[in-house]
Amino acid sequence: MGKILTLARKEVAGYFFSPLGYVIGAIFLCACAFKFAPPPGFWTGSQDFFILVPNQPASLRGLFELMGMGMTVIAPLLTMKIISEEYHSGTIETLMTAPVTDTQVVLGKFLGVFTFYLALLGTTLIFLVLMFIFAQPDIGLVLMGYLGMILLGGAFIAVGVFASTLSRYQLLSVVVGIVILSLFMLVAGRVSVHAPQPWNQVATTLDAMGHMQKFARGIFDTQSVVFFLSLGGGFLFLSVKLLESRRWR
Amino acid sequence: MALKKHKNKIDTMSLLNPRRKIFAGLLSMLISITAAVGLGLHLYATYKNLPGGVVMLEGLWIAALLGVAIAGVGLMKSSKGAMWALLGFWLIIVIGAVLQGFGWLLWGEPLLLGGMLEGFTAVGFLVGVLLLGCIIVASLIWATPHRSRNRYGMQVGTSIAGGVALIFAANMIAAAYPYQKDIEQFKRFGLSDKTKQILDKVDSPMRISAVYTAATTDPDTPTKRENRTETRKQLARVMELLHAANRYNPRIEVVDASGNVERMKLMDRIGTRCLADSDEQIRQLEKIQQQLPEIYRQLDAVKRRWANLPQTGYLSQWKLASELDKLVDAAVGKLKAKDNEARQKIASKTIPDYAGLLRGMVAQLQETNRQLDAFSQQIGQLSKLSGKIKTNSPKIRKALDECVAAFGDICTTVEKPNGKPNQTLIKLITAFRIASQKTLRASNALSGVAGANADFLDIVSTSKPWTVTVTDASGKKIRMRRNRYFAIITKDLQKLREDTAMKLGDENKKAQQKYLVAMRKISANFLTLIKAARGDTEKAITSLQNVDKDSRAIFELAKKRQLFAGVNQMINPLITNADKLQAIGRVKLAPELLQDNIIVIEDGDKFETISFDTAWPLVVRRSSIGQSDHDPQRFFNGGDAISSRILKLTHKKPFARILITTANPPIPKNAKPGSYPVRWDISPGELNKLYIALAEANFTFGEWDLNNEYPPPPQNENAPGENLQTILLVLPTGESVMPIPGLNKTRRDELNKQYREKIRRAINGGAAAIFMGTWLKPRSYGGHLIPRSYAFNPYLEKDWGIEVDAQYRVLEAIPQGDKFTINIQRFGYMLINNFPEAPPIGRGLRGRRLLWPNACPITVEKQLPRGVQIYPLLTIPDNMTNVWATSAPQKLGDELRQNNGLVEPHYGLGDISTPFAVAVAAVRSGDTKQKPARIVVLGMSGGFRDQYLNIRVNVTGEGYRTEPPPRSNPMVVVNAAYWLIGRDSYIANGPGGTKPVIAMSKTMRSWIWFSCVIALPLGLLAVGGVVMIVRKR
Repeated sequence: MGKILTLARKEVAGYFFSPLGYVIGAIFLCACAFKFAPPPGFWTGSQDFFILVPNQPASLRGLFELMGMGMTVIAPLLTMKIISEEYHSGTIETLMTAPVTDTQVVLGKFLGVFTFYLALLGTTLIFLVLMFIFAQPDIGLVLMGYLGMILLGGAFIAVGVFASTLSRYQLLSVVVGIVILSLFMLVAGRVSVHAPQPWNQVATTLDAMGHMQKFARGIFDTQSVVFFLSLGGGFLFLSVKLLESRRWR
Repeated sequence: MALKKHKNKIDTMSLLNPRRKIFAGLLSMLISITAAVGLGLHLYATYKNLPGGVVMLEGLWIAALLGVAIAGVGLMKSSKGAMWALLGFWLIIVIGAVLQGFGWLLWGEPLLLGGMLEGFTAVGFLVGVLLLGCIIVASLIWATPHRSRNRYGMQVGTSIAGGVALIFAANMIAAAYPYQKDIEQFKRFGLSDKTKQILDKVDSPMRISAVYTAATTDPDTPTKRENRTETRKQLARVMELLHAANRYNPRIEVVDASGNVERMKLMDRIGTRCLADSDEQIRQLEKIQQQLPEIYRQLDAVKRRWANLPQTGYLSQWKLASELDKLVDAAVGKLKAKDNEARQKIASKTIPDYAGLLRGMVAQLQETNRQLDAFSQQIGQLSKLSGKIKTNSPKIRKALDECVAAFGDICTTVEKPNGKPNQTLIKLITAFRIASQKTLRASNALSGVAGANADFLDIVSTSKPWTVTVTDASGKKIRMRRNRYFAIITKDLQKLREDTAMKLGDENKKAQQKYLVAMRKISANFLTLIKAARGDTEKAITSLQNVDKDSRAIFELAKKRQLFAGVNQMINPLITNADKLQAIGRVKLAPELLQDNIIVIEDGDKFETISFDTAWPLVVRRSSIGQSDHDPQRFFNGGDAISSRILKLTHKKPFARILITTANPPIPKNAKPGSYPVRWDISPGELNKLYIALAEANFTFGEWDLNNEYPPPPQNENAPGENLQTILLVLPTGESVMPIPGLNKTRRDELNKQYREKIRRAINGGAAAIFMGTWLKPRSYGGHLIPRSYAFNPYLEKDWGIEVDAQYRVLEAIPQGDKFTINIQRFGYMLINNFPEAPPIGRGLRGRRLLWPNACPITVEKQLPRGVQIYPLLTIPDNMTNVWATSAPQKLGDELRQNNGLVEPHYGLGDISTPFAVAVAAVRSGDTKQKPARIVVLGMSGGFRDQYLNIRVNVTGEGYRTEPPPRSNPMVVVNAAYWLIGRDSYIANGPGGTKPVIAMSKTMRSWIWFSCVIALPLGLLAVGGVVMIVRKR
């Protein structure tokens, strides 16, 4: 566990001491803020899009859904370098020969990115504070929304780690990560609508956006929790196996 | 170099264990060939009956199995690709078998190969496949050299497959044993308290099936794809709700019957029940269908009998045979059409509405009977004709003789020239006058050939002998009645008389002589003509008064109403038997079952249906008035719609009796039919949607015409020894403004007073009441529109301190400058749903789409009677300055025209400004004279009419479209009824009041936007920049 934490600490420091983390964080915050606060002269017909609209019900549901959708891009961006860069710079050989197992490497890096993601998520609490100043949002909904974002973030970062393990090119990792996450966020939802039984049920289970929407509505559902945990665990396991394969390929 | 050498060495497939390699390859080959042959035989035997998709799937499986067989051969020849292909295939088979077995454990009975294998056979087959798969996978792994790349690869592949299986298994367990909790404050996405109460009482197994069949039920959907997405999501939400019900009470089984198999099972179950319920209807329908050929034969025989009547017979003087021919052909055609329709519907796969089919068939038989009866009556009338003609013929003959004599006088006058043409002309004028009088008398006598009754003249007129064919000046042949012919001759005579009178003034005697000579010829022609007419008329009269033997026999039958006895004897018992059958509610549900996207609730042998839209509305409005019409945000108040149906199925004893109370004056005994119009502002017959909603909420019904005494309440089955509580649903009645035949204003006022007294007694005796008020349209009287006041106001004012201002109409306008425009949509569909938290009548409806037409304000007295408390239910707040109640809505059109489409409130002329209520509830404590009472007074009752709740709402704006009708309106009355009887807990909770974001100034909004969108991200970047700089130093 100590080795995992050491690796994670190193990874977190990497984000905080590199411009990439701040740029991604700024983009994420800007997108969330755009959804949260309507511009002063906004068109009244678009009031349903925004969150902090006077005389409208105070609900952060839309913000959580947007953040969930945004993670399709943010997670691969955050994770693109964690293994790819090791491949690219050749430090992977050093890492492989170090007294750490492949599992520890993958878990340590995952934990590092996940910690940075939690910090990023923490910055959105500013919106919650504003919401409490100007309205009385539903606490249950807020708690469930953040729980959903934590679970979704963990799972998506695991997918990003897997994508990063696939290639030495960071851009390719990002593209692969976005494609895989889009399968869960966009394609599965569509398939669940259009496919016949039982495929629509399978697709409904794989529809990450559907699970996130449940959390955003304030519903705690063990199915969604298991889905995100198994998705994250599965992709971390694949990442470990992929990393392992370097030993015998 | 050494490593490369080592790699090459490891990669050599010849190092594979030969025995295990051959074992795995051979086993794969044998199994796959056996399976492929089996599938091939099955496909060959059944491909004609299988759907295309299944045939293709089986074809693909055969191809894959043959591929595996080839790979098996390849493995025996040490092919690396074959080895990996076999590993992939068998891993998929093993994972599939594991998950299938897991699925059986969690959910259902073992079924394999589309139902070919089931139970232990299926389990045995699956275990066999699993074992063989594991053995082959193990053989493949063990066939590779120890510590070789292939062994590593195989192990990783297998472990990944295991991991995937594990993930699937975890998700399957989570799906099989779900735990869901609505953490949200208002529990909008879970079950309401009302639903939980109802579900608690479900103590026997109940099945709820969601049947998704179509992309949309909304005809105005923008795109099919978009709506398919929406309705699929709707299915998901509905299923979530049903699963929540299942978790709350496991006796409720939930089935997604969107697939063909489950749907057909459901239809089969319900179809069997419908068949059992409609047994009598089916039997009767079959009986009618069996007898139809004989009915056709009888009708054909009737046709032939008429066609065979002698051409010279009495009845052949009318075109009765061809008339009957058409009648019978049309009747047979319609009966055959109904028969075909019934046969097609019975043969179709859906559940037929047997009662409806029977009703249609019986209606057609009744129509056939009615037409034959009308024909028979016509013949009956005909039979009386000869007697009447016999009676009247002497008069006709006399008139005709006088007529001929008068024409003879004309001839005599002109044939005797006396050298004094002037005198002759004077005589001729007199002769013409007398002749025209006599001809007119003859015409009148002919008109009365069958007596004074015009019906008989019509019958005579349609006969061949009574028709005269004449040729007009243009040579065109004209057919006319005989009396009309004489009338025309009369006019000709009058014309001749005028011409002659003109000649009288002519001083030229030669010309006068010449005229008289010409008249001589004309008079002779006229005499010939009139004699011929007399002869023809005589013949016609003779022919119309002498009835032949065959015709007499037919007349005898017609008199006894046995003209179509054969047909009647067959049809009448069929109609009588069908009428005896009572309507069967279950069978009436059949059309509902054919609708798209429904939920079917089955409880034993009963079932109820409910649409997805009702259970989970897709478009609902925000809880305040005057909002945008387009609001995609969903509010949901629990499964109240579903639980209402469950309540109806499980709770057999009604909560209370709804007494539909009407106050229309009785029809005076001396009133002529049609002269006494019963004018409803809202008639009891146009509130069916409301009654259905109340019936689903477990209320029973009665009727109370206030002209009669109060019907005593039945026993309360829930509380033995007590009477069932009564709620009066008082329909709107206006004070009279004009006398109508048999009922003057004083009498009407007296009646209204009696009605009020009866209601007072009923309420003082313990009944509750819902007073349905609405804007009462002014009635026109003496060229003026007279406003009408609400007839029950004197009672409401005295006992409750409430007044229904029914002569005012609430109007929502759109501000434009300091005046207003009228939006025609808002004029008819005004959104008001700002109910207060207490009383709870409307708390669940605050987010619902409630639209009201013709609302009127309700005023509450400042000084209330002792013990009375008033609670506003729906109030237009004072800040809604664009809403007012106008006393003259009929003048709005003129105002709009005169002021370029603008209007304004005329408070000086009596318009009422906000705030005012449009619905109130009232509670009165009891004393020695009266029991405690509750009433609800609604000023927007026009919104409960069927017409309003059935017709889609036209929406103007960006193009033309329509929206569903405001289906939630009746819930106001349902909830009011629950409140009136003290069952508040049955009122759905609704979305609750999510507090809105407070109002803020534009400067504040600008600051927040700037801080969030600009300053916050830039701040983060700045922090990053500082960190970078510090790090560099």
